[in-house]
Amino acid sequence: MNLMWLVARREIRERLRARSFRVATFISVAAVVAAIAIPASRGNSTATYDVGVVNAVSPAEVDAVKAVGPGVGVNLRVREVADAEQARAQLRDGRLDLVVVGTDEILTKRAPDQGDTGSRARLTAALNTTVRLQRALGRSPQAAVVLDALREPVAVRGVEPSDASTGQRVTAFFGVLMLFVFLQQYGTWVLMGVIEEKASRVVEVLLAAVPPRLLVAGKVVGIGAVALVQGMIVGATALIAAQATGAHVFEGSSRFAIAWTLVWFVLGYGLYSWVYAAIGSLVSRQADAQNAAFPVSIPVLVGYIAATSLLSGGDPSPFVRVLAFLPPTAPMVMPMLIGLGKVAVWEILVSMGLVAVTIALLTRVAGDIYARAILHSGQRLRLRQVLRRNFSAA
Amino acid sequence: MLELDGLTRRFGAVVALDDLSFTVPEGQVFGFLGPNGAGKTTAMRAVLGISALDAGEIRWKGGPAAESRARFGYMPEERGLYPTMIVIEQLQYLAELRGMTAVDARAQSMAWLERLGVADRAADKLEALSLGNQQRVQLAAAFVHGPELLVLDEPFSGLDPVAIDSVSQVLHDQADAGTSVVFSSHQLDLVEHICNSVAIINRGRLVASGTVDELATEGPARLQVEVEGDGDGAWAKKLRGVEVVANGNGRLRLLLGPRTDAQRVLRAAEKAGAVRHFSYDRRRLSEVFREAVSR
Repeated sequence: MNLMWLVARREIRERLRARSFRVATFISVAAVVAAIAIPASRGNSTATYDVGVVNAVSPAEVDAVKAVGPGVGVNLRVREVADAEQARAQLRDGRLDLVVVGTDEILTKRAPDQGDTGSRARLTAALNTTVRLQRALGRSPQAAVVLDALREPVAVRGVEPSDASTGQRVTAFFGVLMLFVFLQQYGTWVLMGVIEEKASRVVEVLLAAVPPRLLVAGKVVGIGAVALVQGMIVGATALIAAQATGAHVFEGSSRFAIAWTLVWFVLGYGLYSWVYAAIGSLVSRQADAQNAAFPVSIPVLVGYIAATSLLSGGDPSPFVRVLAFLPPTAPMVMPMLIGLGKVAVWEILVSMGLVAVTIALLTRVAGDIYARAILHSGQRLRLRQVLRRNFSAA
Repeated sequence: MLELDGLTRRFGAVVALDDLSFTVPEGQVFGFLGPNGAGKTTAMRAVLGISALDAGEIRWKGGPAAESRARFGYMPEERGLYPTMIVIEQLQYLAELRGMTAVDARAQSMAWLERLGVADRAADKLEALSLGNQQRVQLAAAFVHGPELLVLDEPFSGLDPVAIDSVSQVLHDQADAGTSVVFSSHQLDLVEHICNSVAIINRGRLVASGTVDELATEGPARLQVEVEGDGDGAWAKKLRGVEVVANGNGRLRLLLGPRTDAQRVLRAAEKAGAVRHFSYDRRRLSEVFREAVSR
C-alpha cells in the first residue's frame, strides 16, 4: 500500500509539474469561462417573464402579481387574459410564461422540478404564495381563517408534459462533454505512461522494487487524482463564472449536477484507465499507441453520441436506456439521463453497481495482462498470446 | 550467501533455466558468465523476483530471497530510467521505493552522485546527460539504498576504459564493505581481473564454477616453452603425452597428459636447442569459458 502511494505520488508530482497539464487546465478553464460568460454578457442579465392573469378576483390581485417581480429579481410583464383556454394557448406558443387562474391554480408550460433553483422556479413559488394570500384574504379578513387558508396550496400545473429545461440541457451537455474529453485525455495519459516506462525500460528497475500490480495501480490512482483535481478546478470555475456573470447556465439543473459528473468521472476513469494500462503493456513503442488504443475509443464515442442524442428532447429510446446500463457506455449516457432528470434513483444505483463490479474484474484481468506483458519487448503482443495460460515474457 | 537451487524456467518450448544451482559467497565480486541466450538475464531477474520460476528456490542468508528483496540492488542489461525526470529526484524515488525515508534517500542519492562524479548534474533531467553520465546514474540507482546484494547485468558494457576502472573500484569497495556483488559480462579478461569467483552457464545449465584461481589451474598442467631457432616446435610434437595447443612466434603452449612430467619436457627442449623461456602456464578465463561452453 505504501509502495502504491509512492508510485502515485510520483505520478502526481511529475504530472502537475508538466507544462502539458498547465496548458490543458488553462484551456479547459478558459473554454468554460467563455462558454458561460459570453452568452451571459450578450443576453439581458435580468430575465423578463410574461405573466397572464385570468379571472382576477380583484384589481388588487393583479397589482399583487406585479409586485412579485422585484422581490424575485426578474422583470414581469403582467396582462389580463380573457379566459383559461386562451391562456393555455399562449403558454404553448410561448407568448406567456406563467398564468394565474383566479386563486385556484397557476399554469406553466411545464411543471417545475423539485430542487429547481432557477429564477423561473423562484417566480413560480413567489406567485404561489401571493395567490394563496389573495385567496385567504378573499375569504375573510379574520386572522385565523387567513392562516388556515394559507395552508391549502395552489396547484401548479404544466400545460405540456414536463421536460428538461434549457439550463438542465446545457449543464448536462457540458458535463458529458467534460467526461468525454477527460476520459480520453487521462486514459491516454495512463496509456502513454505505461508505454513510457516500458519503452525506456525503467520498468525493469521499478519491478525489482515494486510488484507489477502495485506499480500499475499506483499509476492509475496517481493520474486519476490529477484528473480529479483538474475536474474540480474546471467545475469550480464554472460555478464561479456563472455566479459572477449572473449567467443562467445552471438554472433548472439539479444542485448536484457537478457532483454527479465527478462521480461518473471516477467510475468511468476507473473502468477505462485499467483497459488503457493493459493495452499500454502490450505495446513496445509509442508509435503503436494510437493504433492499439483505437478500439477502446469506440465505446467512449458511442456513449458520447448516444448521450448527446438525448438533448433533442423526448424520452430516451430503449437502445439508449440499455447503453445507460452497459458499463462501457454508462459513464457517458447515465450522467446525461441524470442531468435531464429522466432516470430513477434505483436505475442510477444499478448502473453504478454494474460499473463498480466491472472495475473490480478489470483490476484483476488488466493487472494480470500488465504483469505478464510489461517486460516483453519487441513486436506488439496480441491479447490472445498474453492470455494463454503459460505465457510470460519475464 | 546467495543460493540458487534447482532453478528451472521454460518459455514455451525454450528451456531458459535447466536445474541451475550455484552459490555466491558473501562479500565477493562474483562473475556470472555464459554465451548469449544462456539464461543469465533470466536467472538474474529470478533473483530479483521479476521473473517467475517453474521450479527451484532462491535463498539469501538461508531464508527465502523474497523476504529480502528490498535489500537487493539491480541494474538490468537494458538500461532504463525516466528520461524526463530530474536525476536527484529519480534516485530519491527509487531509494524510497526500497523503504528509505525521504531524508535518507535524498542524502544517499547525493552521496552516490558525488562518488560517481556526476553530482553537478543532480538537478538536470536525465535525458540532458551524456550516455556515459546516464550510465553512472544508472549505477547509482542500483547502489543508492545500500543493498546487501548487488545484481548487475552487463555493468561494463558501453563504458570507456577509465569508467571501467572506476566502476571496478566501486564494486571492490562494495564487496570489501560486505556486499555481495554478482555481475554478468562478456569481457572475460576484465572478469578474470576483478572477480573472486565465477559461474559459467550454458543452455540454462551450470557448466563450470569456482574461484578464478581454481578454474585457471585445474585440469592438466600447462607449460609455455620457447626454444631458440625452433620456430615450428617440431621437438614438442614428437613427445608422447604432450599436446601443442598454440604456437605464437615460436613460443609454444603445451598441454601435458596426466602422467607426463614437466622435467622430461624441459630436458627434451634443452636437447632441441637453447631454452629462452620455460614456465608453468595458467589457463586464461577465456579458455576455461570456451572449453566449458563447447562441452
